[in-house]
Amino acid sequence: MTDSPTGPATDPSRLLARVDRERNARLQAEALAERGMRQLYERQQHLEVLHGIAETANAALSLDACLRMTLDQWCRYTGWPVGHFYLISEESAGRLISAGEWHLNNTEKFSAFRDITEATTFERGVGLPGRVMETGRAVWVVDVTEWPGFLRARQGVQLNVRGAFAFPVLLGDETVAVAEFFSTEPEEVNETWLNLATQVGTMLGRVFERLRAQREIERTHQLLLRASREAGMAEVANGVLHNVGNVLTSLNLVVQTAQERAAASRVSHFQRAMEMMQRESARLGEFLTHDAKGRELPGFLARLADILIAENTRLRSDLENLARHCEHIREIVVTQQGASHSLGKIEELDPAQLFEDAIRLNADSLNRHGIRLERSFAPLGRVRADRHRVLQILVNLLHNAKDALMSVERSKRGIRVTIAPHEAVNACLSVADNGVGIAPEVRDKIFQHGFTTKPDGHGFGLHSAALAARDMGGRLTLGSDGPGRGATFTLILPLARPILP
Amino acid sequence: MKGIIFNLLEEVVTEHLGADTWDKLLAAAELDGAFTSLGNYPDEHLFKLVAAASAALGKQPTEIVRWFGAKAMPLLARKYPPLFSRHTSARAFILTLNNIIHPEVRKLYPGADVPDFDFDTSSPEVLVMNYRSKRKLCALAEGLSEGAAEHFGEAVAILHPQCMHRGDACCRLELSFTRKNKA
Repeated sequence: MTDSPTGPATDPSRLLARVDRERNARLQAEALAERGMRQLYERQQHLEVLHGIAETANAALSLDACLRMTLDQWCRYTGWPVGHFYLISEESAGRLISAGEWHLNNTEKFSAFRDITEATTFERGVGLPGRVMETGRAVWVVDVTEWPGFLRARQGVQLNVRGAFAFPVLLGDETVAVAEFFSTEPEEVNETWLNLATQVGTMLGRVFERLRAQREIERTHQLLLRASREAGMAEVANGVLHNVGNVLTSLNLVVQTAQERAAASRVSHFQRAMEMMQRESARLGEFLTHDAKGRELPGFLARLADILIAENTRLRSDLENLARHCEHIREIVVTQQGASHSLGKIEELDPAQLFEDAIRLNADSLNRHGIRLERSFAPLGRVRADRHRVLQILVNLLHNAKDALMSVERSKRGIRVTIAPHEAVNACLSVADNGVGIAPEVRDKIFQHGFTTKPDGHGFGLHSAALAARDMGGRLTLGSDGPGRGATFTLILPLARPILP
Repeated sequence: MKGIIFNLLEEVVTEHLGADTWDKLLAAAELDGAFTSLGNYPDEHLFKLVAAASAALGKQPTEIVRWFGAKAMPLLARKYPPLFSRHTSARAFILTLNNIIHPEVRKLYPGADVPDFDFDTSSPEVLVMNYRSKRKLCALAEGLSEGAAEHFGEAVAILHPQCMHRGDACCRLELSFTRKNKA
């Protein structure tokens, strides 16, 4: 508006008033803009500190590092020179002790304060941190030198701190730590910081939650490890029982045969001959020369001697078998005893000899069931393995092969044992039968613990064999063209020396 | 240079020497005088205004700058009272320059090229302030110190044993504050 529709006002006082108005408008606009700028800046700073602490909290850091970085970031944000963390004492859930983590922008200036703080513990409700713990909320003290609750000032030492601010690290409703910060001047309450501190406390609470979860996982892991070790020992024990069972079966057969032989022994004939001679002792010469029976007696005794010697030879053979089986049982038991300390000794061994030992342990059973055995041993040198465990595996494979042949016509039962090279650094010890074979769907499960195709099986032998093979740096594999087409189990073991090309 | 400095200069000159003087200084410096606090203006504009004032008032430019600093302080106290209210002495106030006042300046003026002061507080009587800036406005620092002393009812004696204008790497200001007796 002007005095004249055609031009500006000419009255100087009005012009001055107008200039003043314009000037005030400018100042107000500037003030508004400044307020906006300040708010924008502060918000940006809030976001930066929250973002920084969130990143710290999310990073896979140790708790100490996380606390220290949080202190650094908060002190950088606030410009306060002192920051410190308390943790809940492990001895008493109601007590706070120094975490030993500090931000100090002047170590010398605040050394007395640090020493007194680290030497002081706070019960719930006591002092600045105790108050925070009790309320679960941030506490602001404008000037600790005028606050009776500030215990650390009671020692009469110059602490160089005035304004104080502390907030809880919360896990749900539980205070798990307290952060405290100090300024060298009295400080008025800053609501923005109080709000920010709540967010920071919650973020740090998640770190504690994560660490707790990690500790719980670690504890569970240790329990699992122990359980697994115990299960491993149980497996070994089970393996021993299984193998001892196999040997005992053979041993029983030997005993049975020996018993049958003993029962059928002609030794009683000798007794009858002796009785006859005692009866005729008064006229023994005449009896042997003139009596029809007496004349046959020397020949009879000679034949009987042959028979008894043959019987004795067979019994001695049975006893040798018994002794061998007993020795094998002893070896198995010794292996098991050794397994509680270390799983056997790795030696350089002749694979053919290992096979022969295993065959011998199964010989009776194979013979009894009319199973033809075919050997094909390539001269590869020695393998590196644990003798007893290889023996257990091969005995188990031969035993299984025998079982697989039971439904096959007796004249067609055959097992082929092979030693062949594998990739120049391994030896393959294979046991192939022409028995019932294995269906593809079963093939994948055959080495699993508890899986068996036998009505009286435990599903342990092959599982334990596969584990043992792996322990020795080898493996156990299975090939089968399907039901009715036989199966080949191959134990692959590392050669002591690779085969030269 | 931030517009707030030009605004302060305008206010100081207008308040103490009158609006016409400001108009004359602008005319002599060949500036239009449209400064807003949030704006950014060439340092040269300030030096031209100082030179114009120096010529008009017959005083050395450093004297003009020092006078401006001293007289600007009450205006700053009116404009930003929280920066002053928490202190009871000029020394305590000046010691917040790096940690409080300049961070506040940066809030309003992102990218503000504020000088860094290096304080030596080992003596309770003498506050040593080392100042380094390519603008070499040590006279402004002196004036502002005088203004600060005045604000807190103190007098200040200033020694300036090293000065960038005399070829030193930085200026060293030794400030001794004494409380004025209440009349």
